[in-house]
Amino acid sequence: MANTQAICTSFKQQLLLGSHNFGVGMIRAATTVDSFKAALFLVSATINASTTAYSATGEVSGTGYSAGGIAVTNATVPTTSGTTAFWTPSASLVYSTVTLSTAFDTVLLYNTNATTANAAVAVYTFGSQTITAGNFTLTMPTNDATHALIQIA
Amino acid sequence: MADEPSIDYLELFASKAVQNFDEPLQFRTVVTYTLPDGRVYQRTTVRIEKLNPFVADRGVIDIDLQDGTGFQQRHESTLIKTVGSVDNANEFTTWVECRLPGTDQVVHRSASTWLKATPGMGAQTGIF
Repeated sequence: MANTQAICTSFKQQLLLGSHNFGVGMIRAATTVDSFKAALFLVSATINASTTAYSATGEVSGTGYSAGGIAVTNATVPTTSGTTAFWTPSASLVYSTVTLSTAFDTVLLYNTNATTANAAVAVYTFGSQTITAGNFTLTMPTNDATHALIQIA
Repeated sequence: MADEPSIDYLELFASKAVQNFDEPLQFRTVVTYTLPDGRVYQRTTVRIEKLNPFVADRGVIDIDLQDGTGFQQRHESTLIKTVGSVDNANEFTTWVECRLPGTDQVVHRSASTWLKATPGMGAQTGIF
């Protein structure tokens, strides 16, 4: 046998499960699954890798849309395949019967239970949209190592 | 990510193919634009000539006149419907727009987006 340098795949999965703490003052008390939400942001907003938490600044507004967005359905625990850990919401994100007249192109996924309030998780962009008395649906990708919404490779 | 190009842009820079379908219950026009870089955009305009008995239970949709009166319901057959799609490396999106006849006002618009590419996160060991 030979030794091979690597970040352990189990560790990648455990990052998604909140099992490790390399710092101080960030002790997880909860052992239950966190709640995540998905908020839509205007084309004019600045949401990117530097975003640390959800804020209503630049968020869409309109009939049928509540600030903060919608709850993310999370019925599937993070898992691994090969050397990649991954996770995907278990249902599409559907903003039902809304009017969002100002163009938006971004959804921010964030954790409502995080020790840091409403901690940002990931930002996804798409072609700009407006919605009028209709639905906006974000269909989730296949939950595997190459398509999942969150992948740690 | 890049927005869907405007119709003016597509008319100027894309190759265009138009197909008309005169069907029993509707007249449908499909315009396919192909940009030089391979991106394809499709717009379909549907004029429903009479109620389709097979989809009658799906015929009523919400509309918003955006005049402060809130949502109302109209039968789809009373509106001009346009559907389109965007298919690129990042997403596949379909959308449907409904306008009042004789106006350019969009009173209903829905969209469905499937993200193809998601931002991955790499993890690697450092060097001593």
